[in-house]
Amino acid sequence: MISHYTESKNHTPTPGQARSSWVWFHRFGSSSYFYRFATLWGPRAGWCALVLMVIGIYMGLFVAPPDYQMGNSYRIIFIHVPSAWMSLSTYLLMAASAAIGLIWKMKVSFCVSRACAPIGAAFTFCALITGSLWGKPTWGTYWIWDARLTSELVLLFLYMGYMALDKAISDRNTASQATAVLSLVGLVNIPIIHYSVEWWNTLHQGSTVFRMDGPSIDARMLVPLLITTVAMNLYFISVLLNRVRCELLDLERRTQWVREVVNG
Amino acid sequence: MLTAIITRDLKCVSHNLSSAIQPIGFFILITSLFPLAITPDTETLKIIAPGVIWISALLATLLALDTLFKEDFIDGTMDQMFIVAESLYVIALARIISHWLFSGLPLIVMSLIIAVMLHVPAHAIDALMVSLLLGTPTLSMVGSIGAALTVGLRYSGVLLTLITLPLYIPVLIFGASCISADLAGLPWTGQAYLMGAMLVLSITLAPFATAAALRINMS
Amino acid sequence: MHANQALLSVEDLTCERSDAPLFSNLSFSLGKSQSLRILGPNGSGKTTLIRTLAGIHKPASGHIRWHPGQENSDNFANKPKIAYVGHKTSLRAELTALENLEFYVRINGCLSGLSPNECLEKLNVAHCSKLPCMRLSAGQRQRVALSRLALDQYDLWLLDEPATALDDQGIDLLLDLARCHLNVGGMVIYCSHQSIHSGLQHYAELDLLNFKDEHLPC
Repeated sequence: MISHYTESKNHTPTPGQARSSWVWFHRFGSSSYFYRFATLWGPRAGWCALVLMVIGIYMGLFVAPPDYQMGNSYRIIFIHVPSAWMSLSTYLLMAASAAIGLIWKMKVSFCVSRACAPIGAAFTFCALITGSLWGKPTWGTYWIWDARLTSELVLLFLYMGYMALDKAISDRNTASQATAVLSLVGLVNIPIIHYSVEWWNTLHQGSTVFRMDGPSIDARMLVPLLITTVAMNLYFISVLLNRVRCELLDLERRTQWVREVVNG
Repeated sequence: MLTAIITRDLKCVSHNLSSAIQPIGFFILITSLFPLAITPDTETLKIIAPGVIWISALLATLLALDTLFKEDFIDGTMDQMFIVAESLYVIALARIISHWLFSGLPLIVMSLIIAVMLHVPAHAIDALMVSLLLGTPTLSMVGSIGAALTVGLRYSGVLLTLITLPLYIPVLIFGASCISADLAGLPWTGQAYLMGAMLVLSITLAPFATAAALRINMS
Repeated sequence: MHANQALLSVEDLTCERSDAPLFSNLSFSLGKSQSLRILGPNGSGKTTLIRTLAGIHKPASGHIRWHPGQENSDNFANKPKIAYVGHKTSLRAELTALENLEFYVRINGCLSGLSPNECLEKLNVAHCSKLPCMRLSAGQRQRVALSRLALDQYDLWLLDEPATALDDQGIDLLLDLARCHLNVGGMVIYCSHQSIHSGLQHYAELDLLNFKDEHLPC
């Protein structure tokens, strides 16, 4: 009695069914449309990321002047700062798409949310590692309980909890909804954690922390930083789209369009 | 419904007293390990006491969280309650209240003894009490979300710890600092207000998240 | 139109488990005093169907209408009183049989049925009312779980393998109880691998592997 299983539920609605401004939203809700979109744009974003990253790193290493205080060791910021930014914005995207999934019951959006977690965790890990490597020449130690590093560490814990829950629940539907709730709970908690850690840090201020975010940063330093940030974003998009493609193929393996894709 | 569930939990606890006092025993045991591991020196103990009490309270709460919804879930009582109530909010709230009554409240009482053992001076007892009174319900509220998310898993103890402890960090920071501030003779009302704010926030949001998580795991 | 007005009508119900479809476009209706036995091999979705009817499991598509024909027929407020006895006994192990039933009386509000002790009497387990449920045998536990059915005048019983662990006497007592329930206009939907339908009036079968639009003979 196993019936053929069409994806009529979340397929592109006929025009006129939805207000025109929302058509794009419904289109992205359609798995096959999203798959085609991801197949097209994923690799392009990847190549752009590679080119920009090479340019950004080159400028960061050879064009930007050395810092008057830290010499050349500061150059790690061209990786460190973008990954720290990405670690947080990935979490925001993860929680936002989880919310969309819970509200509109969109499977694609759950896939995006789940695909975000390992990438976000990787960015967080990268930010922590580069931060601690940078800490050695700057502070003389690999780790200090600085507010930002501590917040970043807690963020890594949140990602780890998300991924552990995702792996532990065997039923896919249950897993994506449960992790969606967890990511929203984490979203509410992130500002609270951040400010409590910051407050805790000012209370226990042991060593003077070098503050990077001064108002004046040399344009020759700023430009490569911006370039690597854009490259990181494009890299994120590329990896995300690829992961979502895999998720979609697995999720919709019984549907007609996946058969067509797999059989060429 | 609310009182029915709490009354039933009271009966369960009275039938099975030994398992109910396990988290309390755990709390006392953990706190008494710190002087053994670090130093019995009075001055050092005074410095670490707030942190020790709060970390032990955190872990003891976690220990009792694992069975928060699991027993009802496994024996099918959750299904029956859901059919009658048609909403899981009340069920979640009732279980959270029971959890606090049977783990948070005894823990606060026991912390008086622990405070004496860790040489916390008498003038800091009020800060200790206030911080625990405001903090442990928050722990029960926030922890219930993790317990509800992992309710369908057979072995969820470590996972529950992994997803819940990061969410506990603000309570830990302010709770411990509340006591430390009082020990140092500084005003501690600011921390207490912030803990009150976190309690209100968690009462407002956590039962909804818990109910949603239970619903997800039931269907 | 049937002589007997349908109280429950299921339309195009599709259920899935872990994204795999169990059954799709299932339709049937059930009226007063009717009983329906769900058939199908293991894994065909009997338990899921019963849990969906109880409102615990969400269907992938389709409607469950109570009092079809009336307005708001898929409204929750219109839902009849349902008693569900599943694989799990829904009894707290550390509480006594009596305390468990008292708990169900309390969460249901004031009930019009029998007292908890009388309910236990119906299934001949009143002598264990003071024992904690963990000390009861599997059959006794199942009897205590079934005695919940007598707590109220339920409109619909949903029984998932009610005869599990029951002896012949237990099955007879259950059938007596079910006959009383059907005589006063109640409905029963159950699945069971034993044939325990003797003496149930307006009995019909629904095969999950091979069903057509079922309308019970009245």
